[in-house]
Amino acid sequence: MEFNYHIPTKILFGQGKLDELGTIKLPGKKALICITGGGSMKKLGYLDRVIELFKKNHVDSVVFDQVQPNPTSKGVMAAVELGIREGVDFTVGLGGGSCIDTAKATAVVIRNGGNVWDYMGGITGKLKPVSKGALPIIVISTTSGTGSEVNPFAVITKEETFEKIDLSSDQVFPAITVVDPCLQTSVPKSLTAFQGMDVLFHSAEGYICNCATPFSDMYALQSISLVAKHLIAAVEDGNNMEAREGMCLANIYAGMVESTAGCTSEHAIGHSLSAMHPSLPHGAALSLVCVECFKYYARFIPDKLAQMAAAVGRRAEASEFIDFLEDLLRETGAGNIDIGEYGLDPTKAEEYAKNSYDVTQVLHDCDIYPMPLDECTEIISKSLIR
Amino acid sequence: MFSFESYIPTRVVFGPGKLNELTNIKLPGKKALICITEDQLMRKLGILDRVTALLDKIDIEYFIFDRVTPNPTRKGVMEASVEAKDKGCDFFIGLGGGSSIDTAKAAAIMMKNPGDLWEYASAGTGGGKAVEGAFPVVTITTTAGTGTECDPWCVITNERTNEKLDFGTEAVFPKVSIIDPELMLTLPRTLTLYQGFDALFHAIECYIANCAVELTNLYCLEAVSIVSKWLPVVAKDGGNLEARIQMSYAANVLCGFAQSLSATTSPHIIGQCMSGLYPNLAHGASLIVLAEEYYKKVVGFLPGMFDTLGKAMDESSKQDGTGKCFLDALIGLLNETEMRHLPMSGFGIPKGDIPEIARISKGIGFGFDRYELSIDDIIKILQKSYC
Repeated sequence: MEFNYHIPTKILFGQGKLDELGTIKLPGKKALICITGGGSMKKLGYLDRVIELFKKNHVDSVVFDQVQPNPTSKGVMAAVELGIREGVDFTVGLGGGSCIDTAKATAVVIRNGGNVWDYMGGITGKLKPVSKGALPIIVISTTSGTGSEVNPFAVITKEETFEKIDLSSDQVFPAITVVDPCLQTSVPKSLTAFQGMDVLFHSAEGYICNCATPFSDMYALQSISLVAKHLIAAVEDGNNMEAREGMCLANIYAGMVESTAGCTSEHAIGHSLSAMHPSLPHGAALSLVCVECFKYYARFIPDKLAQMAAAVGRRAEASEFIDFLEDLLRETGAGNIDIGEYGLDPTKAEEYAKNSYDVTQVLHDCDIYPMPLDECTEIISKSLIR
Repeated sequence: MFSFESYIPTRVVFGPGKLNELTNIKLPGKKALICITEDQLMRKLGILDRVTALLDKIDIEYFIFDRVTPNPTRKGVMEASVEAKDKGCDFFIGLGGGSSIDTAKAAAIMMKNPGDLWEYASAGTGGGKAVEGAFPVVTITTTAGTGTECDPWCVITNERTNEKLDFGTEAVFPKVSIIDPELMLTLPRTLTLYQGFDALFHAIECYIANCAVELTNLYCLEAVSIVSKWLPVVAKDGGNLEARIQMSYAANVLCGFAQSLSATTSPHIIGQCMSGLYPNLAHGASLIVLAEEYYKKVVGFLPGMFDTLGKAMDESSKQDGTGKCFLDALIGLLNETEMRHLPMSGFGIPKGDIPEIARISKGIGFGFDRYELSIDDIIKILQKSYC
């Protein structure tokens, strides 16, 4: 057994924890708060609450309200420009993964200059080191999906080149992450379901990846078990606080898994589909391909799937885990995806597959048994023709 | 409904052979004071030479402070901080077990806070002053017991008052902790067992403490399960690397994490009080001598929790709603490792001192217990334990 652990994020978890932002020591005096353009953070009153709490704590706020789902490099650069112009000294991601990752990437570029893609890998990134650090980052998470609350990654998309990849640096660990389940009651059913599936796969892929350790496995199995216990209830009744809390915790554990292990080819495929079709939510992409992916994994690592089946309270057999996925997709509605709506084209399966290697080979590299291109194409093809 | 705060910023580098990683890690300074124990064990085992050779390679200057005592003292801490100031050191390396690491941590506090260490102790005769920062600390662990590698605590004894107290502040989380179980292969059997039980009791106490949270329960149950399985193995064969890895993982990482977010309870207070009064009594031994009678007394207060602990210790045990399976598993482990009936008298504790031990312990306070124990209860536990 060997592993590295480094998660220097302070996690404030629990109902009502948001209010502590008014009293705890904050890492700066002027915040750039990143929210989506949809306006939900304003409508729900969360943005005003945060600004008010900061004010109470003698911190000024500037709002960047143009974050897109699957946030883009252009969006990040717009946030950077605003942040520099206003002289902010820390960033805040208020919302889901898109806002968090925008806040993270923005914090890097403000400190280091240049373009966000200078610090990315993929095909066209320059993979420059984040040598000057980053502005401190605060995360206020209003969904349970990304794990970005406690990991060193920011996923950004470059639209021109169809690249959706991670900016990966210890510098983007949030200084403080607030997980207040009260902020999640209004997340709609379908988003709750898709995000819950994302949590599940951060943990399940972390469990089967080639860099898993007993340490990451501990978080992974607990997270998987929490998803099995709480996701359906959270989808059925968004005000079920026990279910929301359970999913919040599952998500934090999944983020710990991401920080100590890794994701696999399933995420590579998921990123590829969303990169080619940016309107396809990440959780939906995973939901589309998960059954075929895990059927493929079951051929090589049935024991691991059997252990995950046991963690969700089923017989310890690989096929039971596949059954669990199918049941979960059905009962949460995450399986009801109209591929036409997103423009997905089954005849492009090979193109999608190729993109997954070209852009996110690093994820494919985490498979215990590397997935060949023809198998990858077949998984995508089977997933899209149903 | 539950809530918690979690903050464990230490960079943990865990695994056999990982000491060599020292040259690949960004260290938090250029000039280190390396704290080791006065028995010179680190020199004899050649570990100090390995560490200094690695530091030479990456041009880190170092000085050695080799006057750390077991149950490290306030005096030792103050001397180490004076030494570090004299030599212009900008970080500390705690090399060894809990004594060396805790000396490094406490001395690091004294680099940024004026006066005497005891002015910053928050219990007993301590001055209760707030700690404002500390110098960075790197730990290189050679034992599997304390968990201090991954937590914000250091335990120091005041040699003037015989108080053994915890100092805690986020600033003394080690910046880097290298945990290399290969360095533990030569630990003597008795020390291995003392430390293994220390880890077990850290996990149990952090689980039953009133400040336990979801996250710590995960760490604690995993640690309890690993120690129960592997301590008997390492007791029989200290050279078994897999057993050393597992024990180190449980004690150094899982228990350190648990202690960072939860807390130990009254057995640790009583044990530390005894070790403060009778320095021959090793920390682990102080917990072992009272464990059986202590848990017989309290298991009925939290039967459900002890049932869960019993299951973690022994998967095949029966949970009957009384917590008895935990007592069975604990006594079984004590028997199997030949640690049952460890005599308090053998450590120079006179039976007549028991009321005084109980009084001092209770005076420090059992703020993390979920149940009330009176001075009289403690006296009875210790009297029944005495042999």
